[in-house]
Amino acid sequence: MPDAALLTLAAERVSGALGGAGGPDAILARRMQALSLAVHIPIVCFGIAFPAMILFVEGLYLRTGDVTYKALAKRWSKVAITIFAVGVVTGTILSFEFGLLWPNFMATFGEVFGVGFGLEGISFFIEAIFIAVYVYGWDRLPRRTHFLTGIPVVITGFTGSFLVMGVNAWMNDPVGFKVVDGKVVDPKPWEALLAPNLGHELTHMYFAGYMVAGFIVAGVYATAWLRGRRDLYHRAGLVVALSFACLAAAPQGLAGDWAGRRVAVSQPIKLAAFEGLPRTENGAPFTIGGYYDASDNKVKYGIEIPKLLSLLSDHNPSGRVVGLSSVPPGDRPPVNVVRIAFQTMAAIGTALALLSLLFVLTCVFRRRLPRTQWFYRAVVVAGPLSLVALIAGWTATEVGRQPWVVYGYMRTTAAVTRSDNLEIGFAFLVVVYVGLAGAVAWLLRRLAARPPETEVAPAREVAG
Amino acid sequence: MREQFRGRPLLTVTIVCFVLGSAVMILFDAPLARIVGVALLFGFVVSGVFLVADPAFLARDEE
Amino acid sequence: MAEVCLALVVIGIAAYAVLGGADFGGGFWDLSAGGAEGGGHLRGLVQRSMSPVWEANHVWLIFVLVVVWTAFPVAFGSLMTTLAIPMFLAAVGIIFRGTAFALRGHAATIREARLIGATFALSSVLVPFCFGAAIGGIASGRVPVGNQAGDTITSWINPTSVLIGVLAVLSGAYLAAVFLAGDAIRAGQPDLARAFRTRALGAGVVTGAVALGGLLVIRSDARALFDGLTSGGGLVAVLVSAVAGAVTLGLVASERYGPARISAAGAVAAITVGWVLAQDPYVLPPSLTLDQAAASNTTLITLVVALAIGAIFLVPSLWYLYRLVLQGRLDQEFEPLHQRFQPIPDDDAGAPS
Repeated sequence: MPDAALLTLAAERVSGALGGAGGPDAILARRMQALSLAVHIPIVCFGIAFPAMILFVEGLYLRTGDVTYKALAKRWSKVAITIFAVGVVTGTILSFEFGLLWPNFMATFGEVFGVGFGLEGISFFIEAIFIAVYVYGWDRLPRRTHFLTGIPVVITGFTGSFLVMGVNAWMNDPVGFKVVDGKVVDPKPWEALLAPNLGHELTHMYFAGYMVAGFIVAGVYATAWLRGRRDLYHRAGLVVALSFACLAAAPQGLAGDWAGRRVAVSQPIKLAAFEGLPRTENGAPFTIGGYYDASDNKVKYGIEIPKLLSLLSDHNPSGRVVGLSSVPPGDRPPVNVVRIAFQTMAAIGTALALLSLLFVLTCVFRRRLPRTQWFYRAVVVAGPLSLVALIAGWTATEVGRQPWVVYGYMRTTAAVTRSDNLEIGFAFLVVVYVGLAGAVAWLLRRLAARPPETEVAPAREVAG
Repeated sequence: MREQFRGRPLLTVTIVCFVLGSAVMILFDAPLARIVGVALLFGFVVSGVFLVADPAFLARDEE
Repeated sequence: MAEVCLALVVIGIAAYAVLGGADFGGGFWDLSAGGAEGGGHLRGLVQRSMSPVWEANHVWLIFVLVVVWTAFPVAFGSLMTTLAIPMFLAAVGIIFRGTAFALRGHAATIREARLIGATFALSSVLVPFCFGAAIGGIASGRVPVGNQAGDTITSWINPTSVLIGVLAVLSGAYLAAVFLAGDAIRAGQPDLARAFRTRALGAGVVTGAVALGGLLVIRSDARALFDGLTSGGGLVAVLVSAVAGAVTLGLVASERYGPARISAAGAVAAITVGWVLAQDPYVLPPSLTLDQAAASNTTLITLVVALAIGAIFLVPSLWYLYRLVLQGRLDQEFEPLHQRFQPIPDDDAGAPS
């Protein structure tokens, strides 16, 4: 990975394959893309985690024979396929946006990273097939067969994330090609797919999926719990969802530590922006809160904890951390957005980890659920909070990568479409997504309002 | 008491996975260590879910 | 290698034209389903047929996008910028359609239901039209290489584009009618089958007429394309398509819906292939040939190998799904749906529950 000084040199040498400079609406394009990603990514979390949760509940049904578990699994299946259908739609929009908004990025680098998406398309296709078989196959396939058809959904949830995170990891630490006379040549797609950042990005996102999906689902049952609905159905919904979410929290923290250490090496300026560190130093502090003043290149009004940043990024309190001033201002990301996003994510993550600790310890060693109302209120809030952390984390890493779209090789401004009318598209998209969110929320509410008994109507069950 | 006894092996597996996994993740940086560490942490989550959300616990009727 | 990747793209487009097209066509018939009683049965069947395979049908679109941007990146960037408007409209249409389909059964009032239904139907027409128009723009040589180098309006609002857009809508409606007639037999609804049979025959005749008349339009608007369609491989494909279309009409008329599905699909697939052959050797006529557009060999080979490996898992899965569907093992209950897309209660025919 080239150090900071070489970054600028490499960039000047890549000229986009479509020729000419980018267009005028780069910021708008970024916002459009960010909006679409922010809408899609929570759905991805459900794609990652929900199938495993549903299968676990179906497993409980198969183990105990209690149809309450079957009702729960069926209800969750219906929710899952609704979410999945929305995900198909939002994912399609994203695919279109890559071409509509970033044609020069696609045209120049498409042959380097495109294979990852090709495989992701196949993974996604298989996921669509088996989720359809699983959801529509309840009571129509033999019980064991039905359970087994859920397994490909879990696997493809993983492979899909693997492949997409592969592309993002590559964007942050590009490998697998050469630049000759401004042209990208000698692409090595396999190398690009298994980029150095893939490990921590995938791990961090995968555990995040379990936390987001788990806490959101748990929040639904915690709300019911607070209203006195504590039968087996609601208890199972609550405990299963919380188990997945809470157990994932600690590993998520460890994955975050891993990510931080890698970013310090491969994207030092991004790490500098997480903190707002003005100059390279040994034993760098971590400043909580405050505001970064770009004109002064300094964070003001924050609480400084000495040596903490070095400790976090290098596991060495006197470690060297690169500062923002090692690159010209034009090569620095918008520091305040990145700082606040990063700290929001870390703060929420820590809070959720503490909540998780309480839950797990109480369940395992006290053999009961927590008794205090505050716990359940916290769970209700944990869902939306984990969503905020998710978006904040993505904001930190994506905005932190600016001004690059391919780190060190192509600037976002060079990649964008020449179209001048993105305002119309953006406005349209906002309206559409608001409408979509409202419609889906409404639909899920209607679904939730139906009593669980409707799931276990007298249907002929196939023996097996 | 009997419930706790039944859950003993699972509890052990869960704790071991967590402790070992965390240690490997914090102390080492090599690719192999990362793979092992993540696998252990994954094992922690899976065994932990079976440990916490077990049918006896779920069927318990409290207050 | 470039030809192999192009073949994959063509397969994807043909699959989307058939499966996605039939899906959109279902929406078209939904719109014209009519009042509570008779319309209810029609709506019920569309719902029942679409539900299991909806997402799987539309994944072909993503497949096509991804293969194009990996194997032919410069062409991808060029066409997405010049044809930004129809592409954006199609994307929006897909959002609306997906949402409307999911929401259909949950409207609380007739007005809400009509709104959702109209959204669903409108987007079912908008999306194929936009894609057809985009294809027309490419085929008639209106998409040059570069970052929005072509005209963003006339590249898709021109005689050839409008023609192909309309044909896309019509062929979707035709396919849907044929498929739904077969589904109706499987659901034990012979009256419904006859209703769709009539629609299929009507749609088939109209589609054929527009296609034939369209050749004249193409002749005056995009001479190169016309020449491509009336000679060599293009001509063969056109003839195959025409014959398959006629055979389908015959099979539908004699109520043999199983084989009719195949010949209908064949007709649409053939004309898709014909379009690509007519453009040979260009990917973006008149300036970008296949060899110029293709990515480096490493990438093409990697892509083909990766997709081949993927196919090992995908093809059996797809076969499993379609086998279950066609055996009726995933069939949901068939229920007539009234105008709020909810089941019509047996005693109270026509009244909302």
